[in-house]
Amino acid sequence: MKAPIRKSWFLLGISLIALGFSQPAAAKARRAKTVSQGPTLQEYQQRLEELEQKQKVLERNLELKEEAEKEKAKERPVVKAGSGGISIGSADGNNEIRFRGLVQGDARFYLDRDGQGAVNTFIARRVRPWIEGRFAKRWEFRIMPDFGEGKVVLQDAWINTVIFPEFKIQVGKIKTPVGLERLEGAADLHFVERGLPTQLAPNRDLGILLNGEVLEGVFQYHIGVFNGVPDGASADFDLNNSKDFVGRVYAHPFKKTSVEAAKGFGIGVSGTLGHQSGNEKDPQLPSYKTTGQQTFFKYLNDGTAAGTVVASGRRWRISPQGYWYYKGFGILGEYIVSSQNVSLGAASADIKNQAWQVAASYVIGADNSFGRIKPKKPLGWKQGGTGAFEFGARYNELKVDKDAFPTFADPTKSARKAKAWGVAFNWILNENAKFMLDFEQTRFDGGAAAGGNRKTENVILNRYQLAF
Amino acid sequence: MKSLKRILLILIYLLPSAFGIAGGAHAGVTLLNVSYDPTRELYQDFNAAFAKDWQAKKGEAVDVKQSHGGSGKQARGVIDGLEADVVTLALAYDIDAIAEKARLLPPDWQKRLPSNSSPYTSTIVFLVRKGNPKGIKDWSDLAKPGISVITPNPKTSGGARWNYLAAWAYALKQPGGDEAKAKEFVARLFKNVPVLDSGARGSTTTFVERGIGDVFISWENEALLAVRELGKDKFDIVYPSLSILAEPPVAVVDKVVDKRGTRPVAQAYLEYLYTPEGQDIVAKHYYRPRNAAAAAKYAAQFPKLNLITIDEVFGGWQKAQKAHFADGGTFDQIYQPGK
Repeated sequence: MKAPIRKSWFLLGISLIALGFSQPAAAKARRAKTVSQGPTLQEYQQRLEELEQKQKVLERNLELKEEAEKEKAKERPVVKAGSGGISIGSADGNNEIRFRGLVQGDARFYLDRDGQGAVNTFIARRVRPWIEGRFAKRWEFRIMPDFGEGKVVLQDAWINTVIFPEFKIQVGKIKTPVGLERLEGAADLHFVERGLPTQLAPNRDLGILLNGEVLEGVFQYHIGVFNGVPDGASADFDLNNSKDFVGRVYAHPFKKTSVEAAKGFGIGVSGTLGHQSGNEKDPQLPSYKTTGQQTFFKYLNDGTAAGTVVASGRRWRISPQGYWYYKGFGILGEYIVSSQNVSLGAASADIKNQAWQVAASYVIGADNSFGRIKPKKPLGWKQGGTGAFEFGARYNELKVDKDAFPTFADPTKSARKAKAWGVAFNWILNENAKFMLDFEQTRFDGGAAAGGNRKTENVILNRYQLAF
Repeated sequence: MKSLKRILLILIYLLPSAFGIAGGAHAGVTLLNVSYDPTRELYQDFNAAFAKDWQAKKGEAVDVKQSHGGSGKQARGVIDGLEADVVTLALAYDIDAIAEKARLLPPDWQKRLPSNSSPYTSTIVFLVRKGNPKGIKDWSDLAKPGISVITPNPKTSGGARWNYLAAWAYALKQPGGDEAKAKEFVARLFKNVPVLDSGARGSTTTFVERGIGDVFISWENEALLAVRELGKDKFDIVYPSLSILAEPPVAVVDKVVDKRGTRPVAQAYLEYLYTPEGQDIVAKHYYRPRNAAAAAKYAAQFPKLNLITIDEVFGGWQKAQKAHFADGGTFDQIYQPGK
């Protein structure tokens, strides 16, 4: 047994010796292999640089992509929706179309109805969806139909070329710049209906109007040529070759001063001059309405040449006007005289009708304005805003020339004079919505049989409007 | 009454033109120079010198506004309504486009000023990292694998179009060179372009500030400016065996200057570029002057090169544009973003 044991120990010793020699050699070989196959420090540096380059390239490309996105964003159309309507415009602001609208739901309640046609009624007074905007920075436009009162009327359709703010050329169907309250936007009125002076001022007419603002609105001017329309009227075409010349200058003399209280003061004068003639089918003469929208004066008209009074000569108007708005307070005054040569058969006369008004109001919760009143805290259920409240009062008169009676107007049916006062309460919920409640009383001189006076009109006017 | 009406009517019809004339005067002596990317510094100095000269001669202050960007992009801006009194772009094709598409100046605008309305020239060179670690010597090196090349987008940059055509011309001029080989060569070159900026100044930023790329194919003036601004220890300029004679043109934009009433000052502005004073400023900003005296004075900074012209190799800019840079042209065929 001893010999095999010794042999085993011998073999184990040999193996261990062999192993002892062989292990360092294998390790060396492995180390040599690792060194020969792995990256060198230089290679690592190179790889690092390549990775850095790739990272830089990615970052730079991302940077360029973001820049390109910003550039593209500058060219994307801008869509806005707000109190001024919904608009789509180019990013540079040179082109824009705005979709706007005005809906006025009115209610008229006549107290002590006078039996002269006044009917208590609900009425859609104005329903005006319109588009306006500008193209190529300088060409502005507006197209505004009106579906109110069961009619379809094209109220505005004009192009205004803005050469400079100081000089613009407006062409088309335009509100004639004469009556001050007429020029106030229908959505911005302080009373449900405009006062009696507006009855003598022309409404919309077709023509060309040069206009502009100097010194950022310190001075405004309008000068134009129009077809010519009777007092209070609009028209879409002319009956004759004569045109009405229209001019208006208006100033806010303290606008650029430091006198805060006077900045909202404006004063001006406007007028028209023309030569108009009508016929029995279209006499080119006005009728006049109360603030309750009842006709109290009209010229004789039986549809025949012998029995219809027609315009037959010079027509002119002049209207000094002004307003003052400071904080919540506002007052507006205007006077207008309108003269028109009229004829009936061989009889002819220059009829000069006059009207004036003073209207004042005070707003709580907003600054008063000739334009849109913007409540400081619009009505909001969660925010707790209540909107703004406006209280107003006015007195206005319209006097028809005594020479109109009896040759050209029937004194038993048309009043010589209307004297009206009114009070107003407006709840301005926000820039868009407004509730209005007016009481108007109009007394008359003449207009009834046997030299009597037409019955006094007492009317409550309500309006709920949405304008955007 | 009738007379009064007539007078009022005449006044109304005449007022617009009267105000139009007043409007021209109202614009005053401000000019807008719509230029390409690398001319910022040149026109900053030039505008000041011209304003001083104009004030001295005419007693009138002039304020020249500058607008810079890729030349093609700038031309599109003018076509789209950017009211440039003068354009100083990278290549004649871009001003041709303004004449053709917007009709703001006549088609023969290039004949109105000396040297084809090109008061200075430049060429295309290579800007490489200091010591030229990749051993770049000529155009052929730019198409080798592993070389990262920076050049702007030829679709938007005038400089890039010069780069592209110079590379193409080089390939054509090689022994056995033809259009197919040139196309293949330029395709290989553009495979080495990792970033395409919209203008030359953007590419300068990519190469110089961001440290991307081994070589920047650059306007000579831009390369010289980079070396001057950032130090000679960072970059070297390599002049290839062949390059291209770049002739950046200038022009008065007739309809704009007539509308604004700025024609006299705009015309004088461009003519001032040809004066010794103007040429000196041009050379100081590393543009090669036309004027012999200025060229002699600055000869040391402008090595003589073997330069080809667009006309002799490509038959003019119209043909070159149509063949290479129009939609579907060779550039669209060889270069696809991200590939």
